[in-house]
Amino acid sequence: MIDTSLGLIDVEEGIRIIPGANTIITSLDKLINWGRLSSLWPVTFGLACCAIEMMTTGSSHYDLDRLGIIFRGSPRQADCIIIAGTVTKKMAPVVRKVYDQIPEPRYVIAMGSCACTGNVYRSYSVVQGCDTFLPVDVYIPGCPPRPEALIDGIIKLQDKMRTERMRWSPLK
Amino acid sequence: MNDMKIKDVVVMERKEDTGIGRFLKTVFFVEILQGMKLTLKTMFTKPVTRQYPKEKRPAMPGFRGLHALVRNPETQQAKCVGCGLCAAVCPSRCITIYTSEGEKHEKVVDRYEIEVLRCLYCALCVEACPFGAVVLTEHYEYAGYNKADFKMTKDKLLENWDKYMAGTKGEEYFKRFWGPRADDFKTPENQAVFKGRSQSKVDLHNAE
Repeated sequence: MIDTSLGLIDVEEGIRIIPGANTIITSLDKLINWGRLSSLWPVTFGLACCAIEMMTTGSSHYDLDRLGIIFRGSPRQADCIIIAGTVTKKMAPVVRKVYDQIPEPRYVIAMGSCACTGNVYRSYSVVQGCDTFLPVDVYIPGCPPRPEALIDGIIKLQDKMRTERMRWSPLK
Repeated sequence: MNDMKIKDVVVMERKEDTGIGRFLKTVFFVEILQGMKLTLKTMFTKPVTRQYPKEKRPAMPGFRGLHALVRNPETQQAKCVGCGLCAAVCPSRCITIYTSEGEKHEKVVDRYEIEVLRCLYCALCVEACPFGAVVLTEHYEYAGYNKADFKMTKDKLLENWDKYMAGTKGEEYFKRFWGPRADDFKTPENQAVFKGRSQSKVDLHNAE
């Protein structure tokens, strides 16, 4: 039997240990969010030079694997999409289709100035920012952003996921 | 290339082991062992991975990151005079300057805005500025959740200068990367400066 009279010990905010029982209790929100953010699998959508920096970030010098990030080729297996590069109007429906194929919960990272706003391409053929047709979670500025800046953006997305409430529930 | 003769071209033939040599190589996994030797060597070298959030590599000096407006150390105001050259030269047209006329008929910069997300970090604005009033700092970790956060106002840009170009760093930056034009870090003397309106009116239409 667990002697609850000993009281629970706060380890962190919202995480407690039952003394003597080898048990940690926390809210479901925290547990699910922790699980989600610790294995964030992005589907890559390299469209221009930002993709080169994204590949660099995945390589051994920066190594995204240590953050639990493994690039997936299929949107069905992914949690988020990194839009890296200029989104042309011809490509936009494809990007949207890939995004729609990602199962919920899904996140969008707009990497680079082109994906964020369209950059220098104030043109008839370029979408002025991928937030015109996607709900972007994190904007990463830079042209292209350094690999560190991309990791910084991913960490900021993880911080955002950490604060989510009831995202797992169909009732919401 | 065209006058290269046929005799200059040497056809290399690939020599493959035949017979017993090839057989021994296959039996003793020579090629696999050569590969494993490299693997073993790499096992004892230092890992190349930089543990980014914990261990940060400083950006190279002159890295083109977040924008800043230079604060004049004497007046504590922005050095910018609102000439609009940076806005004119900007390829992505992300700089907007609003000016008005001051009390002494001088130009007052009311608003100086940079839409950071549109910038392509070419530093043409830095190059164009005759007063050395706008810089690109070495700060690059400013990903955000909102597009509105990336709209840099004059105050934010001045703050960036204090934060990322503290001390003599800004001065060094100009000396090292932007040449003798801003060498003394002051407005050059031969620079045209507005000194008030001239009193005598010139009749432009009847001047001959």
